[in-house]
Amino acid sequence: MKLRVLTTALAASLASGVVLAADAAKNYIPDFHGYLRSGIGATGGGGDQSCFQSNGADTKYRLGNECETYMEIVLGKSLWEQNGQSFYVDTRLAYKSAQQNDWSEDPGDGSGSNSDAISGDRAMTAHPYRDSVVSVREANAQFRGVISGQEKSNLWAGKRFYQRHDIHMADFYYWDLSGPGVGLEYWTLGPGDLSLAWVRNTDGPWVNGQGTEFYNDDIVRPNVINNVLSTRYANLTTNKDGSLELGVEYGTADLTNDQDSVTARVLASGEIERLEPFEYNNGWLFTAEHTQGNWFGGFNKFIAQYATGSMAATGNNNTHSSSNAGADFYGLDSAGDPTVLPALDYMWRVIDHGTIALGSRVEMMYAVWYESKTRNSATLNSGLAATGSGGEKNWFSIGIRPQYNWTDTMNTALEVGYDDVAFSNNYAGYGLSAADLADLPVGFDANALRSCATRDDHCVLTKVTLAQQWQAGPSIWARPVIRLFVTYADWNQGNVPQTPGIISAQDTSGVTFGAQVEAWW
Amino acid sequence: MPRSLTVVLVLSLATLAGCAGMGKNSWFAPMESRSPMYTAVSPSAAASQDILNAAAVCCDALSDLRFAPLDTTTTRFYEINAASQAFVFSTGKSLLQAFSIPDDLERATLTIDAVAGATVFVPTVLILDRDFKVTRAIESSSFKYTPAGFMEPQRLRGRVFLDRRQGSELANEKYLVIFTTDKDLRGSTRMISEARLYARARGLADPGLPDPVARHAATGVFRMDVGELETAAPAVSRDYVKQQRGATRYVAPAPAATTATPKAATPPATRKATAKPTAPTKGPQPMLQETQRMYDGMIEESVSAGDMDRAWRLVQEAERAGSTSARTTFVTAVKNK
Repeated sequence: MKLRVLTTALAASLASGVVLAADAAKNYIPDFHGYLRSGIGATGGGGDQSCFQSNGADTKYRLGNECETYMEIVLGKSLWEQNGQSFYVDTRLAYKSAQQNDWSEDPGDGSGSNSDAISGDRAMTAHPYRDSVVSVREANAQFRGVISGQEKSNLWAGKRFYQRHDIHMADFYYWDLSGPGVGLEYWTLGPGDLSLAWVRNTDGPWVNGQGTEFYNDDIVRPNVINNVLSTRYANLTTNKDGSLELGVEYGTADLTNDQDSVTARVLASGEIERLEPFEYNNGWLFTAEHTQGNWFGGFNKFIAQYATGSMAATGNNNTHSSSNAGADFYGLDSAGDPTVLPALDYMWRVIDHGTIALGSRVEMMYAVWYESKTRNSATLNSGLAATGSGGEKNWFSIGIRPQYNWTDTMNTALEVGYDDVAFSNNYAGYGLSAADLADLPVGFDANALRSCATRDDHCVLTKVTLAQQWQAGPSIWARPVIRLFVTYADWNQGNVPQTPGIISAQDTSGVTFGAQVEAWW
Repeated sequence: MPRSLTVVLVLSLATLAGCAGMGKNSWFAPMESRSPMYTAVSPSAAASQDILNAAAVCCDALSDLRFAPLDTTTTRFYEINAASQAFVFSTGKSLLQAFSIPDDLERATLTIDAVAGATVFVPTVLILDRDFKVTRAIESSSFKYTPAGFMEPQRLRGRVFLDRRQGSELANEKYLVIFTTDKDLRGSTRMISEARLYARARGLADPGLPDPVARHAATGVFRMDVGELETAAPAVSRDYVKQQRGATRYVAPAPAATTATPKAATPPATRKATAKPTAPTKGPQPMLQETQRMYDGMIEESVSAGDMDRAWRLVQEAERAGSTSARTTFVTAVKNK
């Protein structure tokens, strides 16, 4: 609307040559895309909205279960076009806050959300006025049609969301290489489209078996860069409205000479300290995804993934994976010495998700997956004792989100999600010792403090949300939507949901309610 | 308890999938193309064809249509349905909406959005002067598919510029007829699925899904917004010249002209004289070749000097004096600039 006014004003003020002025003004308007979610919520027992996510589960079912404001502003523009080729520049600015106040600033000094010492929701809520982060997530240029006669072919460089694949209802990015990179994508070769990319991400020293004190030291660069080389072959027609995408990714840390060998430094006291080489490991990720369109008015995707070593490390984003993730967990062995969990040996995962439309009023998202991660038993070369050899974590998850359209713009949505994460063979390391537990106050249930993860148990969480929604259209994908929701969750003892501090550690169920807006455009 | 819940979930999922599997082919259409959204959008093109076939033709001449005054105060939805008037155009029988433009509306942009779902009514717009003679036609091809977004449905969007201040034929425009043609009824429009729009907004890989298709139908719904004139005078006249070309082909000439009794008091002679569609209509007598060339030269000169106001004034003056080339000279000059 503003733009329209502006165009008119421009045209009017430049009385002569108005045609050109109006056209010129139009040419400087970029493509505007974006995303936002925000709202207000509360917990039944008092306090801010608690969000429910099981321990060991990398994602949560998101309807009526999101506690933060998150926004992306996307501005892009085709800057040059000729003979079916074009240069497109794309940017994406992301903002996130714990939505506690009108004023939520980014502390910018690492004291709030950026803090290394506290992370996740705790960091977000640590300071009520400094609870936000801003990040430039995309800044890239794309040369479209780089291969003559192939409109889809695209040479790109810069920070980019690279061919991300997600399950919307769980906010689960099961195949996502994003970050700074370069690549050539959708090069039609044979029956499919080939994409090649080199994408970068970087880990801090603590991930590699070193402490954060490396930050105080210029002798050895503390951060470890990880490279992922990606090859994907997509759009292979398999059946009517069905296609297959195959991918192979190799990830490895690229250590500097000093990071890779024994060095020494002089401490403030004058002593000389021996510095061990950094831990790291490599890994592969194999993915096959079958997409079925025209599937009961929606689509179905079936995905099988197998990953080894570093590529097995992170659950929802295969980027920060090339180094020895998992080594950041410190427990105590029987002698009271610190131990480190060994890196992951392999991961496999099977996912099925999609949407279907039932009749002319009901549409439903659904997702089900099983993921298994196994640690290896390698001893770390830093000399620390490894613990939990061969530990396993098996995660089963299933959820549905049906939506009944009362009218074209009002509907009722129900989301039921269930997570069961089974820990075994000391996957999560040691929890509290028997001696620790003996110190508990009388009548206090030990299991409330002993995490289900560290006692090698199942962590189970069920979450049900009922939402009344006003939505810009009948499609389950239509946005914006404004929703009023009530969420109920229950979980087993010791599986305190991952928004800590709002619901008592001894409780095993909770209710939240509130309102949220979600939009993309 | 949680484990039993899993069983229930799996079972209900299986049941739902099973139910869906038993459905007919129509079940395979995505929600966007079969929701009851905008209830006037027909569920099927065939049903709308039946409505068209059953509709009685209201009249033989455009002048006999009922013209509703155009609502300039607010954006409104208009339905094309069984209750709409039907008329036989030379492009086929069609249901229609007819409006009269209020005299005090001097300049405006009419934005017409034909809402697309399972089906879409593909509009063609005729503009008539006070004598019910077609002055120009906005062809269906100028209604472009526009994807859903920010509270906007999937739609075909087109714009009509009105500028009565420019005088001559533009001042004389009075009526608006929105209908569809047989040729358009045979087609369909490929839309972009909402899932694909989501992928663009969130920087995801393209979902690789077939896009929904809206069948063209004889009934439907469109939204019309009457707003500020969004473009400059020369652009209006450029459009105008283009839209004048062949505009009368939509209406069968002979029987309509003779059988109808025109409501407006205009001598039939004038109507005959202006039958040629492309020629400017107001000139009383052809002007001298030399004068015409002189005007053309001055118009070109003004355009190249960037003085659009003067150029446009010259076009109007030349046309008043009977020039047939002033307008095309102007358009060519602007294009070449």
